[in-house]
Amino acid sequence: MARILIVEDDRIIAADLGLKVQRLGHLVVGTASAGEEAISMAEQSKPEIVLMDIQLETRMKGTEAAHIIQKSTGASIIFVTAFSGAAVRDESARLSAREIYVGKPFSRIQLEAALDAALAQRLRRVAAPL
Amino acid sequence: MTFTEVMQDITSRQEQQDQLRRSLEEKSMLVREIHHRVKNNLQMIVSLLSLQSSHTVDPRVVAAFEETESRVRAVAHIHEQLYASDDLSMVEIGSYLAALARELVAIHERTADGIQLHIDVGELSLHIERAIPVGLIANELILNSLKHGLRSGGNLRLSFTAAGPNPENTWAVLVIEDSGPGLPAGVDVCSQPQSMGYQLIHLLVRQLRARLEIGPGPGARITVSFPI
Repeated sequence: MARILIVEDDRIIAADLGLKVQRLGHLVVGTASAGEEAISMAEQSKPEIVLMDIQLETRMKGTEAAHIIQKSTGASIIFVTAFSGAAVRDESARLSAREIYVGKPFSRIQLEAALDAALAQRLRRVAAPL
Repeated sequence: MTFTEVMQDITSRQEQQDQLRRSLEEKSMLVREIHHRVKNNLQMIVSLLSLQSSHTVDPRVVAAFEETESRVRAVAHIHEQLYASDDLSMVEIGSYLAALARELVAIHERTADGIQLHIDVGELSLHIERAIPVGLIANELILNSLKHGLRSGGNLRLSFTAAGPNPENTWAVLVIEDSGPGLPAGVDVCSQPQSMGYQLIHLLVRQLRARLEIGPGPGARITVSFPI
């Protein structure tokens, strides 16, 4: 079971993500709709994985919030976005190559595969020698 | 005309061209933004269907919701292709069909045995109004193969060519075949009212003025030919 923070400004999509994540056996530690709110929630709840939209309620983009959260908590980021894969890679060029991308509209199985990939990535990071 | 007048004329034309280019860039950016918003709205529809399906435990009802979600995703992928293309109304249908097949197989493989996917697609750009029915037909046929023909794994072949059976006209031909047990004897894909998938195929084949042929087997082989 992983601790997951959902960052999505559309409440219906956020509810769907939350339900899917819980049904896959994970714990939702919070749901934020803006980048600043996500950073503050992540610092308090220390999620292992963040499901992050790119265009959020305020000016701060999801890629920018992800960069800050990744630095402060080491959480794995899964971008869940309607942008194409190439556009996300352009947007997140400043980040490390660790991010995983799920295109909207996503299926339960695609989300499950992305969460599995993020968890495997975390395990590899823990197992890797310093 | 004096030299100064000529220079003023050239400058004015240059300014007009610059303004036209800026206006085109702006229009292109706005159309891309619309495709992005359409995809977001389609996600909202998928989420609504998904939340609704969570209120039932009947596996047939859940499966019906999942099939509808898959149809909406097939339409969303058209918008993704348009978002990424230079021409914002034409879809490169071969690469779209290949991506759709790969995604459906990848989703199915999480719950089933190994499936070998073979793709052979030619290049053809189709207007969005034609691309959506082609995408939805392919979605139904691939899902049908995955659900009924390839439960225990096997081969799925998708081919798409822009040269059809009629030499006088230009036709496109989509073939989807699998190595499963084949369609039940006597089945008519286009007249099975009890199946939503077959009903959709029937409607979309008529919309495209297409021809649908069922191969003799072994396995299931369905050919859809339509005028371009």
